[in-house]
Amino acid sequence: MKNEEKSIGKEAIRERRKIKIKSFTTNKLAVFGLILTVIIVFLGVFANMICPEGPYVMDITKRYTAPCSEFIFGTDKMGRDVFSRIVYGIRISLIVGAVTTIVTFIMGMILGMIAGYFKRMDNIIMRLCEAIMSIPPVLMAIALMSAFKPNIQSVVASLCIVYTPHIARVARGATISVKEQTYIEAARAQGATNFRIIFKHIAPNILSPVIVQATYIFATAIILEASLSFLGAGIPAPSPSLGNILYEAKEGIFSAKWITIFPGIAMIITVLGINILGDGLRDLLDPKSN
Amino acid sequence: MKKYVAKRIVTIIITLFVLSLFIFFLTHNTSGDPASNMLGSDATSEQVQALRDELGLNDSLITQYFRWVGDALHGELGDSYFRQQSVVASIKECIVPTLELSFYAEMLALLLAIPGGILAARYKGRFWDWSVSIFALIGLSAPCFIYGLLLILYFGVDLKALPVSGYKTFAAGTWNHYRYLILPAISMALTQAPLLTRITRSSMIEVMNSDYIKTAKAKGLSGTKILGKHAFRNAFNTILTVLGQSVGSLVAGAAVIETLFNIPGMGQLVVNAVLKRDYPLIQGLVLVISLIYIIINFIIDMLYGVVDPRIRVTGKS
Repeated sequence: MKNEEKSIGKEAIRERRKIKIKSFTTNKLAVFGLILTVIIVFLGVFANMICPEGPYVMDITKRYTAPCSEFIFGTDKMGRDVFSRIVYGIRISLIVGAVTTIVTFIMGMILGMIAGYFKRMDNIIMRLCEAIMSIPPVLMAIALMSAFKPNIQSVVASLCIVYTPHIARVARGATISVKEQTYIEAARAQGATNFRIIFKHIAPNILSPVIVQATYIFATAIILEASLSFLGAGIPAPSPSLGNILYEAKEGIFSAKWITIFPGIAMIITVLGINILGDGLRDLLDPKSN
Repeated sequence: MKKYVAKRIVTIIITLFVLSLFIFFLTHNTSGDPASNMLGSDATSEQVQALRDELGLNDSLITQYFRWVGDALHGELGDSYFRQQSVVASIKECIVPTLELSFYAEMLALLLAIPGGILAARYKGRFWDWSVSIFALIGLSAPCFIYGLLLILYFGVDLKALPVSGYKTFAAGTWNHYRYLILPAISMALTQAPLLTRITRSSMIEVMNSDYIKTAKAKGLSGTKILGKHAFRNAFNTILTVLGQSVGSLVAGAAVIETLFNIPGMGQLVVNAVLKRDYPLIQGLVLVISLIYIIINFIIDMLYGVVDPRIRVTGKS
């Protein structure tokens, strides 16, 4: 009897999931976003097969070559192929975005759940989060970079510090409302430890709103990394990142437009794809839209 | 209402306290000794010690923190290591271009966002909605400096119509002043507008579905009157919240745009301070910009009461 009920429940869930996936695929814009993102991720993952020479090969005799059959996006001031620098730049942007999203998601969940569950910790954690959020993100990130060594790990660490409070706030709010539910009380009555309640019962039930928030982080982290690198406070040269390619392009803007235009468009397309896909995912997950 | 204001002020004071701790320890002695940085590599250790004593770097961290906070409360933020002036003087010199630029950008953004959002809400699911939403999505998908670079390429390099670098005060002529700030303001507005557009659209749609709008329609009011007088006034509250956040991010976003267009504002000052590791200047600037951000949000919270009488009575939003 019990087993039957369980399987019926599971079937209902599966059915609902099917409907949701169907509504996602009928949303043409979301599918377009998915296609863009797949192309971008493909470029990033297979960068070393698409551009086997890598982004560092210099040829001073060919500096500032306009786009031609050999260099489809032209070359920069050191005679490096702009196309391969863009492809590797996309790879770095994606790595920064993905790692930042995953780390902020985990840290934000843990901090948010602790703040929401233990009243005593609430004040300490949330005041710290508010203080961090009262500093505008760009400013916060460059201030952090001034304290760290200039490398990719520091960039990711700075972005994580900037964005964790945003996730923590959402996780805390969701925890507070879930905590009062009867199934938590039941678990407590059965003698479950706080640790078990938080990770086994609260965590799965607050996932949706937190994932919705995390989808914003991916795109904004890529944008913030580009801004940092553009200011010379992000990924250090010679590693290519979409931001520092544009930073170097500034020098030649009056003679070599292609170094600005192509990476700029690549940046817009990358983030656009992720944003559209994120919008689609949010419609799918947002409890309000059901 | 009084209780609400008092409560907000208490939270602001706590936030400021935590913020000051955070800023102080973040930038304190993180990379090398400022005294030896200032004196250069050929200074003797006695000279470095003497300067450390003079700067008070030998006191305990707690003493140094309270001295910094005490001075900050008196409007003193110390001296910049590299600029031959105090932090407060540097900020005073640079605050005007940033505020002007942010103001123009915000006005432009509102000019794009509010009509755009209302248009999209009015024709929901049709051509105008789609085009506004797609523009908003593209605007949202790049940092403002990319639009800045593309504008420079077109208006500065191709047409040679507008200057692409520098800043002029009103003293150099009104038109000259605007000529230098128009491209930076547009590039900042292009990334600010999308969020405001989306919020305007969604809150307008929400309001348009409410009962009192149906009543107004049933009463036979004209479409424009409903939109302007009934719907927009009620949607404005949500727009106001996002406006507060957007003004704050403008002042910080100015960092990138000021560096790109070489405008001597606070943003460029921050970037240079970070690149030179000028810690007193970084601390001062982060504190002042965050303070501006907090004050703007406080004013906006207070404005809710003015815009929406319900909040004035219950004290809750």
